[in-house]
Amino acid sequence: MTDMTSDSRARSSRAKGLSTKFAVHAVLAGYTLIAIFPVILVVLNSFKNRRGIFTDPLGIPAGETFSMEGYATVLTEGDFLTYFSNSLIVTVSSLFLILLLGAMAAHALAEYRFRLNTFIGIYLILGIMVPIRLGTVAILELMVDLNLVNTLLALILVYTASGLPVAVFILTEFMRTLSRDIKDCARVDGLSEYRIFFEVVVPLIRPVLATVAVFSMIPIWNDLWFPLILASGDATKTVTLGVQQFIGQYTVNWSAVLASLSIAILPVLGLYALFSRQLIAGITSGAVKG
Amino acid sequence: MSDLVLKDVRKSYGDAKVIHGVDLEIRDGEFVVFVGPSGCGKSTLLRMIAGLESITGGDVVIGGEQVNDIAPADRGIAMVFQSYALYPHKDVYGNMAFALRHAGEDKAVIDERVKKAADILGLDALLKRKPKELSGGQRQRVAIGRAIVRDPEIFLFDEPLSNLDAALRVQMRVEILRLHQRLKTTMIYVTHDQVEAMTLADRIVVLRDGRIEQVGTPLELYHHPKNHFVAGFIGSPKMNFLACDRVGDGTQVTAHGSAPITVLVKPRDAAGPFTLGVRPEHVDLVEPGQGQLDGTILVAERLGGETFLHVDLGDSEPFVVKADGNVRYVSGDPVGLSFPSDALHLFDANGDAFEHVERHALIA
Amino acid sequence: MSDPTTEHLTTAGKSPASGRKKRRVAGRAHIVVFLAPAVLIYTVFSIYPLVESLRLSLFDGLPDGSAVWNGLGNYATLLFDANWAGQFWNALWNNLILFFIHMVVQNPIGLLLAALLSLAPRFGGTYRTLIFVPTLLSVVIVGFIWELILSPLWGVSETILGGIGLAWLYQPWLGLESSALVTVSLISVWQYVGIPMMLIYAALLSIPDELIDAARVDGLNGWWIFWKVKLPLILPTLGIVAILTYIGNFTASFDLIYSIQGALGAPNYSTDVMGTLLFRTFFGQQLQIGDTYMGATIASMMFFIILIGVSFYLVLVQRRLQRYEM
Repeated sequence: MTDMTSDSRARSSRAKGLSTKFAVHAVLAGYTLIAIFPVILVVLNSFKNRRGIFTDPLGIPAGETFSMEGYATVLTEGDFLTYFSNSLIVTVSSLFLILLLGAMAAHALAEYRFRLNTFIGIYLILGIMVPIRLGTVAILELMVDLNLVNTLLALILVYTASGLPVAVFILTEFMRTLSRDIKDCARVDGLSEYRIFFEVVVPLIRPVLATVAVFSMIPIWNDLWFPLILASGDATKTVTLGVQQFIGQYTVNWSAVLASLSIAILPVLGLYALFSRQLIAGITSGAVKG
Repeated sequence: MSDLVLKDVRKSYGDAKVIHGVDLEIRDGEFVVFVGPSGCGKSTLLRMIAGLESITGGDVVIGGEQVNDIAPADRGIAMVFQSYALYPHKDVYGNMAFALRHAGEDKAVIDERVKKAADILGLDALLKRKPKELSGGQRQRVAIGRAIVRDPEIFLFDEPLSNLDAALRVQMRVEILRLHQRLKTTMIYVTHDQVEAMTLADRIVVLRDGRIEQVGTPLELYHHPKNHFVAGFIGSPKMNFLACDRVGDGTQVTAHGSAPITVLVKPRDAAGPFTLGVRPEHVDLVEPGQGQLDGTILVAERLGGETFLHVDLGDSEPFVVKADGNVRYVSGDPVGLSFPSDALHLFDANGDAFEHVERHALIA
Repeated sequence: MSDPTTEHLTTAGKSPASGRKKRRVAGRAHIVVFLAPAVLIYTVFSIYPLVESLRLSLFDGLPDGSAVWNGLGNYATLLFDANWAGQFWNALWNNLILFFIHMVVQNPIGLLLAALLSLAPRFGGTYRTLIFVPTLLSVVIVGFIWELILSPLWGVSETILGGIGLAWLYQPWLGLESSALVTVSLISVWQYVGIPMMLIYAALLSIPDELIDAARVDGLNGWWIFWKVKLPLILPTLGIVAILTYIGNFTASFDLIYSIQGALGAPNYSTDVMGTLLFRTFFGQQLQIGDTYMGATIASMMFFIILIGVSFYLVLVQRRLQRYEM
C-alpha cells in the first residue's frame, strides 16, 4: 500500500517535472525565435533576387531566386569600405581612450587618499545619469569653434567623454577589490607610481577591461545621432549613418536595402560570436550592478 | 648597524588619530612581534616603518639615519604581505628576481641570489610555476623568498600566516623561526595571534588603540603583565578576573566573601575597585570547602590531554580552570578552588598591575 | 660557515641602504597625472556642453545672430505658446506612453525570461545569447528591419498571420496614427528586452543556493520560492531596471523613430518624442528654421525631466528598496 502511494506520488511529480520542463523550453524557444527571426529573415532575403524576395519571402535562397545583385548594388553605389573604416577608426580610438583614461582615473580614485577623492568620483560618474546628447547644441558650437566638424576626431572626443563615466564606475569598483598588498610590494620593490599602474595594476584588470570594452563598443558602433550631427560628410560617414542614408536613397531597390542591412548586421554578429561569453560573463558577474 | 628607533611616532587621518606617539628601540638582529586586537594600529605602524604610510609626527630612524621621507625601496627593508602579493603574471623566479631586475642588478648576481633563496626555502622545483599553480604554503614561501633575495637589513612581516590553515601555520611558524636563526637579520612581525607572538618573538610589543601597552619578552608578559589588558590578551584560555576587596596590609584580598587570599605583590596606595587575576592553569582543584572559593561545574570541555572546566561562581562569566585530562568532574558537580599566592595578579581601578614581590625564575 | 645564506650575506653584502642617492617617497603629482586627462575630456565634451545648453536656454537669438538675455522666456514659450506647447506636450506624452509600454511589456517579459533561465534549463546559454542579439544591433537597422517586415508591400506579416489564421488582424500598423506609437514601442521592446533579462538574471544568480535550499526545507515549492524569497531579494535590481528604462526612453527613442518615421514623428506627429522635437527644433525641418536657443531649451527640459525621475528614484524608491547582503 504505502509502496504504491509513494511510487505513484513519485511518478506524478516526475510527470509534473517533465511538463514544467517542456513549458520552460516552449517559452524560451518561442521567444528566441521572435528575437532572431527578423534578423534571419533580412539576411536570408538579401541573397535573393527581387522576385524571390516578394514571391517567397520565407523561402531559402536557392536556384533561380539566389542572387547577389543587392550586394553588387551596395558595393558599387555606396562607399561602404570608407564607412567601415570610419566606424572602425572611431570605435577603436574611442575605446582605447576610454579604457586608458578611465583606468588611470579609476586607479587614482581607488588607490589614493586625497581630499577631493569622493567629489571627483561622483563628478565623473554623474554622466551615467545624464545622456550626453542633451548637450548637443553646445557640442556642435564647440566643434565649430574648434574646427572639428566633419572630422572623425569630433566623434572620438564625444564618445570618449560619454563612455568614461561607466568605465570609471566599473573599473573603480573592481580596483577597490584588488589587493593593496601587491601594490605596496611593488613600492617596496622600488617601482614608481606610474610603473605600478602599467606593470602591476593593468595586467590584473585585463579581464574587466575586456568587459568594459565590449560594453562601450556597442553604443559607439551603433550611434546615429552624433554622426548625423557632427560628421555627416561623405568622407566621415560611419556605417550606421551610411546605411541609413543609403536606404533613404534606394527605398525601392529591396535587394540593395536588404543587402546593406545585412552588411551592417554581420560584423556585429561576428564580433558578438567572438565576445559573447566575455560580454555575458561581464553582465552576470554584477559588473554593472548599480 | 641597523638598529631601528621610533621616536614619538604619530599618525592621523584627518582628525582621526591612529597612532598616538610610539617610542620603541629595536636592536640589530632582534625578532620583535607587534601584537594586539584588530584596529590597534599594529599594521599601520609596520607600514610606517616600511614607508608605505606617511608619518604625521615623530621620527623613524634606521641605522642611525632618519628615513621619514625616504622611499620604501631605499630603506633597506623587505616586506612579506598577508595576501602574499605575488605578481600573478610572473613565475616564481620572476617574482623573486623582480626587485633586483628593477634595480638594474647584474644578471649573474640575481641568478645566484634567487637560486640560494630557493634553496633555503625548498622552492628549487617550482621556479617556473605561476603563482596560481602553487598551494598557499608554497606561495607564502615564495613571498618570503622574494624578501630574502633583496638581502634587507630588516624583514617586515604583515600577518603572513593568517591566510594559511592551522597545520600549515604551525609548520611555517617554525620555518620562519629557523630562518631568523640562520639569517640573524632584524625581523618585525605583526600578528593578532598571541600564540604566534609568544612562540616567535624575542620581544613582544602589545598595542592597543594606537598606544604601546607593554614591551617585553614573552615570559615577562605572561608572568608580569603590566596591566589588565595585557594580562587578558596574553595566555590561552585567557586569565580569569574576579572583583575583590583589599584587606589587611594590602597583600590580601577577598573575593565573593571568601577567606583572605594572599597575593605576593608589593603593596602601594591605589584606588579600588580591585580585580584579582588568576590564570586557568594556576588553579588547584580541591574538595568543596577546602579551597578559598567554592563553585559548581557548568561545562567540562575535554580536549583529551587536558580539560577546561567552566565553573559557576555566581558571576556572569564562568571561571575557567585548566585541569588534567583525566579529572572526573561532570556538569553540576560542586568543586573547591585553591589559588597559589605566587601566581596571582592584582589590578587597581585603572587596570594597572601591582608589582610582584619576586620576579619569575626564568626572567633575568 | 657552510650556511649558504650567511655566506651570501657576506659576499653580496652590498647594503641596499647605502651607496647611491636615496629616492624620496613619492609626492602627490601622480594623482593629478592619473586624473587630469579623463577629467579634462569629460568636462570639456560632456559637462561643459550640458551647462552651456542650460545657459543658452536662457537666451534668445536676434535676427542679426547675436543673443539676448531672455530669462525663463523660452521655457514660457515652450510651455504656453500656441505654436510650441502643443508639440511639447504631445512629445512628452508620447515619451511617457513609451515608458509605460516598456514598463508593462518589456520588463515583465525580461523578468519572465530571466526567471526561466535561472532554472538552468538545457541550452540556457544558447537561448540567452540569441535573445540578446537584437540589443546589439543599431536602432537604425532594427527600425528598417521592422519597417520592411510590417510593410504591406512585402506582405511577410500578412503571410505569417495568415499561417495562424489571423490574416484579418493585419493592418499597416506603422502608418496608422492610432497604432504607430504602440508599434514603435513594441519594436523597441523587442530590441531591448535582453537588457532587463540579463540584469535580472545576474541578480537571480547571485542569490546563494543555501537560501533556496533553506526555503525548500521550510516547505516552499518553486513558485512560492520565487515570490517569497527571490523576488524580494532582486527588488533593487528591478528598481535599477526601471530607472534605466526611464533614462533610455528619452535618448534611445530618437534613433528608432527618426529612422522609421522621420524627424516629424509621422504619421501626423503621432510618434513625435522629445528627441525628435529637439532635433527638429535645433536643425529646422521643412518650413521651420533651426533655433539654437529653443533647441537648448528643449534639451534642458529633457534634463530636468530626467533629473526629476532620477531624484524620485533615489529619494523614494532606492531608499525603500533594501539591499540585502548576500
